[in-house]
Amino acid sequence: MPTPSGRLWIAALCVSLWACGGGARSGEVELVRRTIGPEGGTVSVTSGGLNGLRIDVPTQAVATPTTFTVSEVTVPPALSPLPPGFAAFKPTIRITASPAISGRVQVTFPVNRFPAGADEVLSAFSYDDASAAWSLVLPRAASAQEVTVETGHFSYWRWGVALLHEAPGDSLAQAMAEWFGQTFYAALQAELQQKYDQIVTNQLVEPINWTNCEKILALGNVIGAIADGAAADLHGMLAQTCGSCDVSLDTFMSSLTKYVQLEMRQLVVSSFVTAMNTLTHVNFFMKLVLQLSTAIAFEGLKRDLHCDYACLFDDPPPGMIADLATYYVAAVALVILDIGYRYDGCDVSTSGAQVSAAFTPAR
Amino acid sequence: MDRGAAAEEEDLVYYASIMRCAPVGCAPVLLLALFSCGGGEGGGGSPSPRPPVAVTSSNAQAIASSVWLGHTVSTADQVLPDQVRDVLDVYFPLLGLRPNTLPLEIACWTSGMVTVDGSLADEEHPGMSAGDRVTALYHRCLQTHESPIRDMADGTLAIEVTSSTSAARTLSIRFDSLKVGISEALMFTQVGEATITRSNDGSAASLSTDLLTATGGGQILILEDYLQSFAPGDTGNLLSFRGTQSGGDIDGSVTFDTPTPFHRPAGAYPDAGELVITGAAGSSVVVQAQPDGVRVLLVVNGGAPIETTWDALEE
Repeated sequence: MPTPSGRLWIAALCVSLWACGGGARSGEVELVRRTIGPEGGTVSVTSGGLNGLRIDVPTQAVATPTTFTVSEVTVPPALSPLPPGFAAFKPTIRITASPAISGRVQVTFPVNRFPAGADEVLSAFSYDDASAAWSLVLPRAASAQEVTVETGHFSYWRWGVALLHEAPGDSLAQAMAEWFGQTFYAALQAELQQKYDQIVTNQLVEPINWTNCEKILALGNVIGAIADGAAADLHGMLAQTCGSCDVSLDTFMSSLTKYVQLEMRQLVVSSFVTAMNTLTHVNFFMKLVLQLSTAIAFEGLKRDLHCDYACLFDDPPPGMIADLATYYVAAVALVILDIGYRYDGCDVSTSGAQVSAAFTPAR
Repeated sequence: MDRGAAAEEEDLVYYASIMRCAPVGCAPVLLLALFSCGGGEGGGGSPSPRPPVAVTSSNAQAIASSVWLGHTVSTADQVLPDQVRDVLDVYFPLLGLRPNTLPLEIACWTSGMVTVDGSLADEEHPGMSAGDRVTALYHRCLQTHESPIRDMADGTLAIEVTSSTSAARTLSIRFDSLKVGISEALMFTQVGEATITRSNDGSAASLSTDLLTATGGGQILILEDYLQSFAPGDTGNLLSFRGTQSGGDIDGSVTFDTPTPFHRPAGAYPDAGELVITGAAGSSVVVQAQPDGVRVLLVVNGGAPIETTWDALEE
């Protein structure tokens, strides 16, 4: 049996070994370590800049006692930079679980309040060593004090805000698939692709003569009518499925339209310069839709609207996904037409009201 | 509509016409405007002011055009340099989200990073209290925003709120060798301090500086005793500016003032106002807006007025 001083020596050795081995690496400071069994538990950081960070391990998430650690990365290794559209607090942290687990845990990060912009979403970012890239992880829950993600990924993490109008489309797509669930996401994706082909590829891009102002205007009216129909359907579904809200669907749709117009104008203008004839960039389009979906689903918009529309996503009524896809595609197409109309020098002064009406989807 | 092979110059024009000049009254980024056509000398060391240039009938319109384009704005937001506007409108609010006063790293659109740190009196209302400070450290930050023109920044920009009321904020801006430009190959290093006042409703703004220098690409720009102001009037907006500009695209220095502020109806050229530009030995050119909002009179060294147009002046 070791003497008291011997225990201290052993303890010091253990700390040293942890620092060099299974816990913190060189350039890291281990902030907390706890072993949790199948009964579940919580690992919390209770002081310093990371005060408020915690890992909640649900019951049966681990089969055997598992040691979780949270380390602050003081000397960052050569990680890839954050992608555009990500704003993250410093420092980077590293979370480990040993032995590796197959279940999922909840990681909660502290924040100070909600972001103000409707296109800003509290988020976390995980680092994938294999691809050497950061991935956006959308929150399962968010409040003005913390944001919580669910994950089985143990590596480097950061957290902060995703600026959706700048975030890369593939990262958003991955995050949205995870968040919505594969079934809903796959259905939405398929519908969007179909609608895109119907409206943008077949009706808009191929036959259009961008110098024919009358035709652009006429297309605007046709697609506007399509948007009207989808909006009306959504209105009915919202009332039936989610009950009444203290905001109207007009407000809801107005937010969506404003969002898609903002995004499209930012990105399509650049496309006009180099690739006006290749607007059939499906990934590009998907990004917009995913961003919209994100804006609908998450706390920022819910807070602004004082209404939770998650009911639509939890158990979508028949036809709802198709209507969403139709509405989005129509809104996007109208923005393209509007920009094309003005870019080609079509007369907006004498038919301003007509143009405005044609290129603004009904809500 | 094949712009696939558009030259950079064409892109610049496109950028200006689409993103910055709607519907009339270009107000491109101050530096780009002031440097737009310049030859010039320059190089290392502290730039020193150039001697005044003589205003003559042969260079009067070019000088008038340069001063007008370099200092006119058509909205209050355009008074603020781009990076300052980003810090105020984006970075300050994001800083309010941080827990435990952690700094924030923001990935730039194309590449690079901005590290944002500072202190806030009221985390719920970042940037709205006197004493609030934010420092943006740009690490080769390349933005594209919504235009094809890239916007590079490298260095430090520090902003402190010196006073704040329900109506307006006054900010102290420090350009700590902040390099800005449209690419790494065309960067201007800004040094100096400025004071900006901006109304909280965004309708009015002013920028003043005792001395602001920018160097790069073999060119020099020095602004001294400078004040630019844009504010709403009873109808339209009122624009005034004064100071001394040395370098840029002026081969020497001139002093300018707007004894009668320009009146700018929304989306239109000025229909009233006067700009007096003074060069060497009292030589001058006076720019007088006309009530039709189309024509401009130039009075060179007290001679007979020469008629031109705002369109011609902004070419």
